[in-house]
Amino acid sequence: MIYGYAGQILRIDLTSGKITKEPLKQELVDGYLGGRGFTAKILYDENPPNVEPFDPENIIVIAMGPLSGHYLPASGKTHFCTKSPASGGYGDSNMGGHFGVNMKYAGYDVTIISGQAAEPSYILIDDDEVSIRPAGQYWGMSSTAVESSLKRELGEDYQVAAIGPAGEKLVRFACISHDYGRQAGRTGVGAVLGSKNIKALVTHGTGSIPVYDPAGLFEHGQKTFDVIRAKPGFAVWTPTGTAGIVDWVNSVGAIPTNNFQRSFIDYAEKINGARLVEDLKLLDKGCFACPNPCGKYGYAKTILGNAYVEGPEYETLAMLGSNCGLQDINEIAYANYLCDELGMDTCSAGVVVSFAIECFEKKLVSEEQLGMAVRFGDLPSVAHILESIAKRDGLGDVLAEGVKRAAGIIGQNSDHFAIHVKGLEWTGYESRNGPGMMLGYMTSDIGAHHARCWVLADDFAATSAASGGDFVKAESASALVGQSFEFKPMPKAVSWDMVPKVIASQSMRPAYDIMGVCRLQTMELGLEPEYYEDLLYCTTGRKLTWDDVLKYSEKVWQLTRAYNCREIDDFGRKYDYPPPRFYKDAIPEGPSKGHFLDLELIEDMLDKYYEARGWDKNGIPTKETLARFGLPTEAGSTGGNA
Amino acid sequence: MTGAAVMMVTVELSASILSMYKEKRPDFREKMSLTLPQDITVGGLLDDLGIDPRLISILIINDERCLMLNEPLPDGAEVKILGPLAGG
Repeated sequence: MIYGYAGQILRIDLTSGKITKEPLKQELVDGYLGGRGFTAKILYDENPPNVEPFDPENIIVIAMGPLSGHYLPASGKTHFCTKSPASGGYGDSNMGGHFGVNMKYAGYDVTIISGQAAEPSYILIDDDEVSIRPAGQYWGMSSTAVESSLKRELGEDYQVAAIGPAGEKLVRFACISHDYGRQAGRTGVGAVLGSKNIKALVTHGTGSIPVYDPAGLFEHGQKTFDVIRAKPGFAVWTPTGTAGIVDWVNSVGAIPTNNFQRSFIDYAEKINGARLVEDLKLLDKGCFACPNPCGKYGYAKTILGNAYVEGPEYETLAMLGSNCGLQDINEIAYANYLCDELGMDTCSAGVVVSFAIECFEKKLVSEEQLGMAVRFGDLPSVAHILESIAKRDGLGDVLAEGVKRAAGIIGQNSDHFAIHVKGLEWTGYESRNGPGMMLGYMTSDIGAHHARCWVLADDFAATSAASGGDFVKAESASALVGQSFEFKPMPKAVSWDMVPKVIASQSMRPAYDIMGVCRLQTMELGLEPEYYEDLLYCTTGRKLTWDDVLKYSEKVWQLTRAYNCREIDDFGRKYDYPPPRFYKDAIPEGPSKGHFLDLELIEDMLDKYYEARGWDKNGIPTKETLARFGLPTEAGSTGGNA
Repeated sequence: MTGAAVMMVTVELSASILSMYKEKRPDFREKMSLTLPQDITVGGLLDDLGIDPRLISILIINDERCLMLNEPLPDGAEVKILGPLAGG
């Protein structure tokens, strides 16, 4: 028995139909702790080298952490990991809800899916009974339709994670959906599930998890709930969730607009958190054991129809909203609804749709190819492109490949404004005015993703401090909301100071993924991470300091980099560059007018980042670095970074 | 402030504000009581603290969101200053 864990790994080979269970090994627990640590280690060790993402042999690993499923805040995070069809390298994504908790209660910390089912199927994990069942009747259904159908068939307390039509069609940014609006959205995990002929995963668990100190866990769990509820931001943040940040991001000129052509909108009050509450929201919706529910379930009314939908949260407001030019929160919510039904990541979809519209505006693609004349700010245009992608109709077939591959096919220098890193589309923060944030996006293991590193506020704080205290005097500014705040470009020397902040954030954020809890309690409300030391001790019996947890996180970061080095041909520095728009085009207007990062600064930041990470000048971890973390060294470089 | 009318204000700072100012203002605490001139505005409070308004996402006074910095600060006000947070 290992305290804090269900104690088993479940293996499902879809090709042979063989289902096996094995004990969770102490060595894996000691070495990687859980969640994303487990998934990264298993993918590295077990996935056949150089396997193609849609090859049946590409495995999907699902894992929970030691804190998952216990009486402590927001302990319902589930991690999915596979070789990504977006990047061709390491891919993972996580979601809240109740799915993984039920997998753990059924007795499994980890589920590993390999092979390919002969026919459309779903996997049912029902305590000890695990089966692969026909799903022909569900194939073609939307994500929410299959979820409700399976619940009707099996029972409301069965938890469903499903793909939509986009996953069936292998759209490279297809997601896995759960709880009518929660998604493991990024890196195309839904497409890999579709390639295996799996429409849905269902969990139902009624067991319990051994805990080292149940009374202590109850006491510390309760205390942590109380601390969160007493935080200054709790009462303010919860009604809007992440949508509350729209005003600030816009005020500093960092909201993606019309495919990152601009970074400021004059209609923020039409798509911000206040508008969401006023026009859209019906109720708050949280995940397992969440004290501060960020989900906002609402009802959208548009010219294309009305829809119940969870969301949009900030990333969706930015990527399907301002980045596609939509200026009405109902319209953004409807586009969100379409993505949820079709089973596509709203971040990647927002980048791909806006890329397509810019291609049309620049006459790189025709009305005939697209099926209609499209434009920014037009819901019918956005909806048409989304549906054509999910069906792989016309140019939708090209766009379904993701923005990097689509730009390669369309050509005509469209890669200049294909906004991605490593093939994964960007998310909701313009970063030409934030060198640290840009570096975080560039060096993320899965490609451009804010949840790996978020230092935009630190960028502006550093710029403010660099002005020698000559900050904007508040008494000279009339409004805190609704006006724009200009910043001067960050001095180069200060940019270099951002490197350790980026690395710290890249250790901090994934730590929550490893423990199996949501990061928002710390990131959004300021819960001190040291609270997790007591929670980990009471759960597992191991005395881990927060620094110990961060060391797991850094180790996983090195491992996923090594995986990319092993799996992607010619992987190295060039995979860490941002798209050319970000180092060639200055932001044309708004508070960040004139900002851009020149290539020399980007190279300097990469040099300093690689050196701090123990990687060579091409961004490859040295064998010495990998050995220092106790990791396999075959993908490492013999070169130093002198 | 000798001779001038003063008032007491309670200020709560979010973790993100504390983080951004941890080097410049190590004296900042999550909750602080301040003595301030009675005619001070919200903007004046920020200037007094040395907090750049560009780094504030939400400002709450007595449970109401404050949008204008030239608002006078009421005696005994409870002020919450929240920094920007990542979405999604």
